[in-house]
Amino acid sequence: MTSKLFQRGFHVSQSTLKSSISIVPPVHHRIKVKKSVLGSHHLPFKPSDIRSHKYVPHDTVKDRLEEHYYQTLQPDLLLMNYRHNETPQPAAEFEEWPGDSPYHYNRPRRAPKGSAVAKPGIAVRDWLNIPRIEQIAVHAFNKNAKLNPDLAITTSLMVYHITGVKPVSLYAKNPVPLWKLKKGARIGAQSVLKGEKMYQFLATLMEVVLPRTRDFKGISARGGSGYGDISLGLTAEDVRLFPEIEGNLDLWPSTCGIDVHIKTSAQTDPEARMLLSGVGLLYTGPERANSS
Amino acid sequence: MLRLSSRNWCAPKAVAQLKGPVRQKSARSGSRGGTNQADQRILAQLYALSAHRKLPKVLKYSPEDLVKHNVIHRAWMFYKSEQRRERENALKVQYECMKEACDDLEQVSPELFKKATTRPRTVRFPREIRIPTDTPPNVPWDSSWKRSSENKK
Repeated sequence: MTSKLFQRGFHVSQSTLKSSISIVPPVHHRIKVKKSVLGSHHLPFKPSDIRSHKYVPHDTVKDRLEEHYYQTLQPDLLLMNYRHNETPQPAAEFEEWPGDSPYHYNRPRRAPKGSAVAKPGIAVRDWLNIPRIEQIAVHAFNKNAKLNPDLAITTSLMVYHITGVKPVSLYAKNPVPLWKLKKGARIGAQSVLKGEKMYQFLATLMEVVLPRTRDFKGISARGGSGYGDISLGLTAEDVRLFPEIEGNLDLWPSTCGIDVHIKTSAQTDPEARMLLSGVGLLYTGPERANSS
Repeated sequence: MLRLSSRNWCAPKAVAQLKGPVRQKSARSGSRGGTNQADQRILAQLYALSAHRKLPKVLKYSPEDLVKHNVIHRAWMFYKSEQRRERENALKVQYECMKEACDDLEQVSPELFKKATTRPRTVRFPREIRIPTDTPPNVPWDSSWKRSSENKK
């Protein structure tokens, strides 16, 4: 390594000792030192390894709702969903055109009969696909947050308190001048629950919140996504019944309503409702005629 | 009200933004802290939301402890997989028994089979179902309970 001190400038007027970036090799500081790489989080551990910084301990508490599912609901659901000599229903998918006409070339594929979208089929109900609750998404939009952006923070914290899972902020996708909504405005928060947190939230919702809501007679039996996901909404008043918020109501001068989307592995909505009735959810009205 | 850009909100930024006008105001009025109550509340909420920074990142284990932990962890995972396998086996046996019973009934008495396999429009768990708790209730058994007419439907 040649030192700058011993370089001699015979044909240049500038001083060789001038402190500037060297352009002749060795060029210093060309290799960037990534300090962030030096931490322990860069080590090749799997997230399940306790040495990883992503490690999260699980099975820390006894989950009574999960036990209830495995001990009571699962065998009962197998019986309640049983259909003798059932045949699987094929999925409705986009099809290729027959190709007997020259106009068929390069044509987009044909939509399935009777619907504009592809639909999954229904497999035979057996002991391997008994419906279970997979995840719950809780999201809240605060209408007043567009005028007072601080309320978006309050909404985030409210969802965090209720669910125990750190929420992701939600932003307005499109501007709506009629509502004075600007594009990119932060107006809500969402958190997705799985496992213990999900069962904890569900138990609180079913045992503490819903029985005490004013004039609650059950959610509509005609709702659902069509593929086994059930949604329900709570008003701002109902949200104040969550014990986390009810414990110190003085801290919450304003709350906003939340939407709860329960994703189940059921193949149809009636099966999902059947599963959730085992947790204590009530319904009003009749089912749709063609829903099963 | 805090004036922040719409994205990238965090507590330290908010504090930095508050510092300028806050110091002037506190110099004039002499109030402690300087910020008004609404701003203080929002700051506290931001700190509560960004609490993950205060958690330790990695647990420090000695090699011996690590071996112990791994042994216990693997034994626990084995136990859980065994449990899952047993549950699935029991469900499979249940399914096969149901199927066998239906097949037998179909041969013995087609009328009874038809009645047994006709599905009602809606199938629900009874609305009296409760998630079991760890401790028994104050009134363990209500002997005078009768099904209400509404639930009979």
